[in-house]
Amino acid sequence: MQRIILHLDMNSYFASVEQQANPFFRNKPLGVCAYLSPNGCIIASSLEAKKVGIKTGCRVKEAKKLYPRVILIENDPDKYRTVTKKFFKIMGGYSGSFEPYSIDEAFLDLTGWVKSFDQAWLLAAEIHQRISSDIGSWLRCSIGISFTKFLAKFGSDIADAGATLVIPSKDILDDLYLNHQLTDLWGINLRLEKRLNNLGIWSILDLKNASVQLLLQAFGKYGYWLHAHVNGVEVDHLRSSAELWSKSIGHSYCLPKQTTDKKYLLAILYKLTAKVGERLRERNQTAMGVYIHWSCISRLCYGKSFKLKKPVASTDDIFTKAHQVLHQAILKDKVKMLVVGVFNLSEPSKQLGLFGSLANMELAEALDKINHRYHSQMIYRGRMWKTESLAKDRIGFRKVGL
Amino acid sequence: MYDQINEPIEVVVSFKENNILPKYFSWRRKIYKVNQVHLVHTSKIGNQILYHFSVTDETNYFQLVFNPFTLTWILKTLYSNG
Repeated sequence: MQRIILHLDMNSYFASVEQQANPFFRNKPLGVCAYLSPNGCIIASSLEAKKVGIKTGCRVKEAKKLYPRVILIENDPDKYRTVTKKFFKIMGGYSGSFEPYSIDEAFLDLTGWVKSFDQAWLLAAEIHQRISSDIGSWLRCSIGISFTKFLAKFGSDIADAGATLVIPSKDILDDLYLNHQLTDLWGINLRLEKRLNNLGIWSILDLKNASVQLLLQAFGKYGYWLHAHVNGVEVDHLRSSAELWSKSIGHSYCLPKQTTDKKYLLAILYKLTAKVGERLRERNQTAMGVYIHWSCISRLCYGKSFKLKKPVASTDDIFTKAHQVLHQAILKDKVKMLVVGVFNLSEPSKQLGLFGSLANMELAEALDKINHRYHSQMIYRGRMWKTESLAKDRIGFRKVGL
Repeated sequence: MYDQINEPIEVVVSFKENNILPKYFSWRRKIYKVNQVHLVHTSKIGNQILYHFSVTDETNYFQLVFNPFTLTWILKTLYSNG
């Protein structure tokens, strides 16, 4: 049976959602920012902003220099999550196999649900129309349809905004690759491009025609995947929700006040740890590893990760480990970013009660229940006092948990 | 940019095909006619779901928030074009 995969990518997502909500922002350069401070980063720019050179990753102060009348607004995660749920729901109605790849991208396996690529194209047209009519007429998406997951994504990446591109067979790959660079391919960044260049591979066609042995030697298993992907051989599958769970859970925060004050830093560290702990317990998992990392204004970074003898799940147990590292560190330089997280995740052992910190766990679960019912910070440790406005809810493109 | 208002308002709504749509609202003794609802999104406070309506009249953008537990509306945000 002909395999048919559809990939949908929302165009300039966060900016388009803001322009959908507020029509006075339409047809104007708009940047959605992580923070509005001069060093805040633009996490999504509208098509109009991109035209004047304001791209994702640009700083607020740089954007204002490039185009002084640019509209800059702080991100609103609830808006984007709601719209994502809506377009996921539309897509999920067309196939039993659906992979939410990120907040603005998803795959559908249409194999068995449509008979041909022509039918898939008609279905894509219906999805475009339903996103416009059911969610918002300003929202656009690009859709790629092909016989492998990789080529479906390549199709949506190179399709125009609001368009559908079908890659029905291997015969057209050479023509298609001709006008694109290595970095247009899913998973190839500038660093990998350089490594490929060192092997004499300068274009996608070079990569397609490169020997498997050469790629295997240079990149191991990933080399074979590269070869298979560009040659239209399927080596991937749509992932289930369980497979999509990340192997670690972490939170980071760029500090509004760069400092060596450990009291301030530990308060924020606790708040970040509380978020990590809450997500870990929501997934009903425990962790056997904790990591902490911070970077300073001198660009020096410090970090430590360690495996634990006993599984942890309570905020206090995770914090104790991270706290030790930061507490003992001699901070010569002002800290500008803090990161904390857990890894080696697994289902809780039945023996956790015997060997784990049961009191901490019970307390954490009781606090979770109260906070879930009333407010995310209804009850919190005194250590987090006056941190309400710090490390607020943020959204990342790779976060699929809605 | 956006002005944060967070003041209670009175709203006239219509119920249509499982949707609730604001038509008019009064704020600071003035009545505003909603020309169009552009986006509806939700947020949560604890286990309470709040409904946010992004609406416009001729010259302003408003975000109206409905709390179905307390049956109250607030004007959360205002943006004036120009």
